[in-house]
Amino acid sequence: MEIRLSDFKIKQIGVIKQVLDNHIAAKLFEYGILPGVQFSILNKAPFKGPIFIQIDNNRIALRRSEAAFIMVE
Amino acid sequence: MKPNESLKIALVGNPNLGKTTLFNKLCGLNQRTGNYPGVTVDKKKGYLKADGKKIEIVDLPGINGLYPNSKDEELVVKYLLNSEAEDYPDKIVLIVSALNLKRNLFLYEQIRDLNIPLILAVNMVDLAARRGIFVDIDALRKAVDIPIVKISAKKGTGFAELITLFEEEIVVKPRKTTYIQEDQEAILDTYSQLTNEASKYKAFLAITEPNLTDDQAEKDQFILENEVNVREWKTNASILRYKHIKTYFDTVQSIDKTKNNP
Ligand SMILES: Nc1nc2c(ncn2[C@@H]2O[C@H](COP(=O)(O)OP(=O)(O)OP(=O)(O)O)[C@@H](O)[C@H]2O)c(=O)[nH]1
Ligand SMILES: [Mg+2]
Repeated sequence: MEIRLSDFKIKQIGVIKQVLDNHIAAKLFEYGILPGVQFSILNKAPFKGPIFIQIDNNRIALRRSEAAFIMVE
Repeated sequence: MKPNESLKIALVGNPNLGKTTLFNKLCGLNQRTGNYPGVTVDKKKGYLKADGKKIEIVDLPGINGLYPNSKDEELVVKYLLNSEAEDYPDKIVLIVSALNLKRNLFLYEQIRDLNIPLILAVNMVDLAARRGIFVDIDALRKAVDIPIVKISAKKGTGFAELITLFEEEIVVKPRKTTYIQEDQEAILDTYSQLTNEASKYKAFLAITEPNLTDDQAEKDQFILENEVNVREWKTNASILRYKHIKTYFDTVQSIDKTKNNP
């Protein structure tokens, strides 16, 4: 099953499987969004707004379009 | 630095962690700050008087790393890479936030490898302490091989120590690479020798980021001949850097779980 980070719900915890190859991949890696890393969804803004995730103790805001490139489980 | 010219210090860091707040306090100015990323969009100059000498301070937009994703980021990255430029800084203050330390240290790890005179300023220590996040400065000092100070840009603490460091001689020597797989390093060595690049990481950036240098045809040729998988190099660099941070991070940060963490 292909699940994207953007499919996850608030408070859900998961692990990053893969970041699809795209023009913002390098930026996502710099954020620490790397295969094998655990994350949780802090909040999802309504109306396709940003998704706030937490990795370690760090909060990261992602656009829906960015989150759609991140495969998770 | 040329004689009769003032010392130039550039403030660099991830977005929204107090660079402009520090800039304003140091220079007695009132540039816009705000509690969201991307407030500063341009390079700004200010001056600080220390011991009767004028020191130029440069405030910059925040960057997420050395692979630019916007015009503001590109401006900063090019400024950091172009050591021949007239306005190239004598020293950089890399500001990290105690609240987001691991991610901010990623930028430290990258900039450290440019071998520019560098000071690490750990900001937001006041807010972090209130949230139960503590940074062990001595442990961090052991992990990084450059001068480091704890500050609160907002409260003005730690400034005296920081300003003393502005005038001290700081030498940042090339170190062992942490961002490339061992079996690929020889290729990188060849490219840095070919291009006469003293910083191996600058050579790495040249290969992996097309927009930063202009000899693209030669670069493409090199990439092809050596079968460099640019995408893989980039991904592995991030993975390896975070792995390296992990080797020291647990000694540096402690969290009091009874406090309300972010
Ligand atoms: N508690 C606390 N807040 C701080 C400190 N330094 C900065 N802030 C706050 O952090 C927010 C961001 O500050 P800025 O100075 O605008 O950050 P910046 O790094 O210049 O941000 P960009 O220009 O967007 O990259 C503001 O709300 C500041 O008041 C500090 O030491 N302690
Ligand atoms: Mg700013």
